[in-house]
Amino acid sequence: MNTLVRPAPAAGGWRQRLWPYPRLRGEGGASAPTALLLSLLNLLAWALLRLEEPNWQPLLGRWADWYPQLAGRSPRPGDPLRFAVQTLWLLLWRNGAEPARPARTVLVWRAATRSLRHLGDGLLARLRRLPWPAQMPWRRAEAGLRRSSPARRRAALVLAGGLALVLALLCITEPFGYLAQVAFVLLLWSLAMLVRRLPGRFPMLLLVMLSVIVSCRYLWWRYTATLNWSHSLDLICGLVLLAAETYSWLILMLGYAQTCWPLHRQPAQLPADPSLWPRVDLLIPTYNEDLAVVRNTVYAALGLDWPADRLRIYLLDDGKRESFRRFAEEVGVGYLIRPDNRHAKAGNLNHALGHIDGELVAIFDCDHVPVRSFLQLTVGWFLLDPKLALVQTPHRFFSPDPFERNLGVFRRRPNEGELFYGLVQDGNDLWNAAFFCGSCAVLRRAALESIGGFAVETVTEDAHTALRLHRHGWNSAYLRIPQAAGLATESLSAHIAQRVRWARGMAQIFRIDNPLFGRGLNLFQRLCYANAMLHFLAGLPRLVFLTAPLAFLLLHAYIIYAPAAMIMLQVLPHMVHASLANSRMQGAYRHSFWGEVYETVLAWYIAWPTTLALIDPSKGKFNVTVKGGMMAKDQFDWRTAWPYLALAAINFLGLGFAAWRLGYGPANERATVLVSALWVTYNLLIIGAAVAVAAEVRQIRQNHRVPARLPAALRLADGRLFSGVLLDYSSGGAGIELPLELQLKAETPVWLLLHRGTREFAFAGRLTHCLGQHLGIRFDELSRQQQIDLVQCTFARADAWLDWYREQDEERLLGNFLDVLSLGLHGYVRLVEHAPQPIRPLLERLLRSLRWCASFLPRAPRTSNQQFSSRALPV
Amino acid sequence: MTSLGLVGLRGGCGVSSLVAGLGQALHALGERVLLVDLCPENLLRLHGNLPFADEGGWARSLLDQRLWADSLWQLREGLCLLPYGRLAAAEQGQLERFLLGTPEFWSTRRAELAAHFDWLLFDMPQRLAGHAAAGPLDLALRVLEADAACHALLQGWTGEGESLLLNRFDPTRALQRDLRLLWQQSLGSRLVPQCVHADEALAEALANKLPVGLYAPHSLAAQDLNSLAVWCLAARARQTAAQHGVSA
Repeated sequence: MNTLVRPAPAAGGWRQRLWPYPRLRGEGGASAPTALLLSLLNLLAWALLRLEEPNWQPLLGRWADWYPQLAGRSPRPGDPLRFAVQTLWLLLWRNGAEPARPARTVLVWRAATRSLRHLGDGLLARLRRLPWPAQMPWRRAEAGLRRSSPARRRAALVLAGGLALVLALLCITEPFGYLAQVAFVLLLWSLAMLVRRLPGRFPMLLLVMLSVIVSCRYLWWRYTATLNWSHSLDLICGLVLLAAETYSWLILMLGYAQTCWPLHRQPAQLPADPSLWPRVDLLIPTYNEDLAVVRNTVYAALGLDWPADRLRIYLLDDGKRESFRRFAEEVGVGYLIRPDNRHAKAGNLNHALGHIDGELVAIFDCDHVPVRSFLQLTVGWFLLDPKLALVQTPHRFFSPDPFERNLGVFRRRPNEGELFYGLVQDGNDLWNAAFFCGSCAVLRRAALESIGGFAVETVTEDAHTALRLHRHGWNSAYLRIPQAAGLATESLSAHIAQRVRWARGMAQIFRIDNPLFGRGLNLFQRLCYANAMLHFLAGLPRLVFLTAPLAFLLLHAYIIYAPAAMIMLQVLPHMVHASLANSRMQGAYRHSFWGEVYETVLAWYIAWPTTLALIDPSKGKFNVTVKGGMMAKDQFDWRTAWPYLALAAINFLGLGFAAWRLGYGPANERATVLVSALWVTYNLLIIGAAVAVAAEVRQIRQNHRVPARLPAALRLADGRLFSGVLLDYSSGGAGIELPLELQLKAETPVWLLLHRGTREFAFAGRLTHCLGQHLGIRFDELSRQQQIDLVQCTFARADAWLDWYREQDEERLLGNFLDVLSLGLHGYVRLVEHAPQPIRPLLERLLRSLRWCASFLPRAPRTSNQQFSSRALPV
Repeated sequence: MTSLGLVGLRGGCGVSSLVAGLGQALHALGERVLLVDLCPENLLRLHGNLPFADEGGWARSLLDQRLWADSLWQLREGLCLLPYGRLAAAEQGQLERFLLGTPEFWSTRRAELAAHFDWLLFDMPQRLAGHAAAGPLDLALRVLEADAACHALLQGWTGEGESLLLNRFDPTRALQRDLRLLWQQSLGSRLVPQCVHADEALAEALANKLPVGLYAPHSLAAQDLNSLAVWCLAARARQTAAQHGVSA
């Protein structure tokens, strides 16, 4: 119907408008029955509605915007139905004009409550004018409390705490009937919705408290009212699910305690006299990595802002390679090797500790490039606090990890590690429980010597070393300013191998050096470490959650022995409040519901190593083979993805059983079957997202480009220079935007001029392309000094990693939920694309029919001035 | 009104181009600027697209005892240029002796000019002491290039109240980079942090008889001069604040 009902009279005038059959058949390319049907409907429309009236013209003029699924396509038989659905949706739901304006229902609501709000404002104004006492009663109470003796203060706190505890217990254990539960849920939900957008820490704490109340009530209800003690199968399945739910409840509570008040530590000032600054040894351990990767790190380390006589750089080479030794000699850094390779990186570092004598030790992984301000920002705290043993800074990545690359969300969504480095460690810092992460940190050598060097008993030697330091009474600090960036894991299998190693190590520490027992830690340090370790035991609970509804659908076991309505009334608030609180607390660091995807991807792989490590810490070598390297073409990682496919297959089976039970099962169970089917659908979509991650995307670039906005200049061979903006850089090339268009050919020799402070450097290269104002440059063979200068002008800038968030989408709770679900659908589509040849035609046909059904759904109308912005080329 | 004089550390440092370019940049920032050519070579007028055959100028009018207003050219609304004029060698010598005897020559005319201009830019000759005596200058920039000759001459430079401006800087040359680093460390704030790069646009601008800001506004030299103009405004503000601080 795209060529119907046009405002401007085309050639042929009225006849064409009333009877568009010839045009539909000719230009539109519709089949005869379709064209006939649409023409008849068109005639009917013109007869009944007076489409020539001026009122209709704005609608007809913006036809393509209002009906984007119909415009621009040849007419199809189902178009009248699509048209009807879209019209209905536009009338009832969307305002349509500008998406920013709220829906009609909201406007109506606002108008209705306007008088109420005015009343409220009037009351508030009158309240303010009342004669308030100079100091509010609670401030007087607080001042009085401060003045009183410690014993009295403790007594007051114990009394208040005890009263709160009694009230909380009452609140949690009181059973509610349906009506009371509904009222309770609505009340808490409205309170949460009122508070959730208010700025500040207090609303966040309020959301946390609401979530704690609801979740504790939920768990109490599960333990007391939902287990079927009479039937053994029900009991076993129910207990398994309950154990998993208790685990996730525990993680939730510990997480709240850990991150409710991040410290936001600021860098400490160094003394003005550099002769008072301590001596630092910077260690770069390496084993089998490429020299090209390590080079950048060494070059950046050479540019650290620290007195040259107080900084020594050492390359610790476990691979004992001649090329590295020569490189270290040419550049002027130290080179240490050891006779054996025992205990991998920890042993390497311990050996180096015996050969250095600076007061502080800075450790960098070989691919983590430090910025010039690293030492000046971190060392100040060591001088302020003589008991400080560790200052840790975040790990940033300038290349996409498998999630970001395969799902196409690089730089639009926070990286998986953002939550840990942005929030969790900051929260740990409040309780003096920030721990060592293996790289981008500075440690005090005396502290390391007091614990006997780096810990070698587990595979995550960094967390274990930090635990030992805390036990010996040393402090730790965390600065959340990114001061280094490195390469993310290359492929999904490498990513999983890395996480499995961490999980195994954490489980080993949990067994052999449990933070909950043993001396030297205060309560909150124990809780923070326990949370970090328990976090890695999430494999089994996640698997339980992914298969729980199947217990009912396949085995007819009542895992939650309660009516379906009550289940929904209890489960939904628990999930909603947890999501609200987490969205508020973590929204900037991890978008809601993405944690489910990350956990699902890892669940199968970390379940078994951690269980084995808990039982016997010394056994087991479950390392998935690392493929690594560049992804030459799009491929599906079948070897890594088979657990997800198996889970998806079982869940599809469950859906089939659900359909059968709906048709042939007892009538009073229908609600339960529906609830289970919903749960299964949710699980399927999450598994679909995991499947999407396994569809590896081709990685076309050898050197990863880092986005930036730096002033730069371009010098041409004829002596002209132009100032511009550097849009991205890598060790092999750069992209620059000039203020004017130069029509230059590829391979033109140019020079790129970059600044470092007051100094200016020139780098020779050739143009790879010139498109409008954007140019891509490929550097020529640079001399060693030039390579050092390039790294120090780009990667090692003090602000290189600070404005990373600029391009990110905002956190939206419902929006993210739908995004993750649509990601799941997308995953199955990708699976079909990569399916093996025999079954692919069948699956493709299925996909086509599903797409045809989805084409009837309404679409959001396009705004009239939507421009396709010209983003910088991904050079 | 602020008087700013540019003079080279040695001859041929590109002072005239800088005067024209800086004047145009200041004018683009909204200032009223008068460019005065004190050099007998009389080259500043060529940056303003003045006719080559014209022989008028302030020196010519002074010797012929005519009004200066006849030789004042307006390039834009608020940007004016006063050329030197064509003088024979003997006349130049005569004028030099006269100016040596009247050191207050330019300071007496300043009050009149202040009513019409915010900036007075002097293109001062490197050799003639009398011509270069443009009265007490608010800002004085000594222009040099990053080569060994200028480094040698710097050793004998006292330069009270003068700032050094680096011209024709080519970052692809190692010697220039090293000299600039050396001067940054030894001269500190005496060296203006903004340098002017060696840009072919400067040479082509003179060939086109335009200041570089009009000939090639996107060139790096034009951007450098824009930044230098802002630096000049900041220096003026600093001086004004210091004067008020002293008087208060």
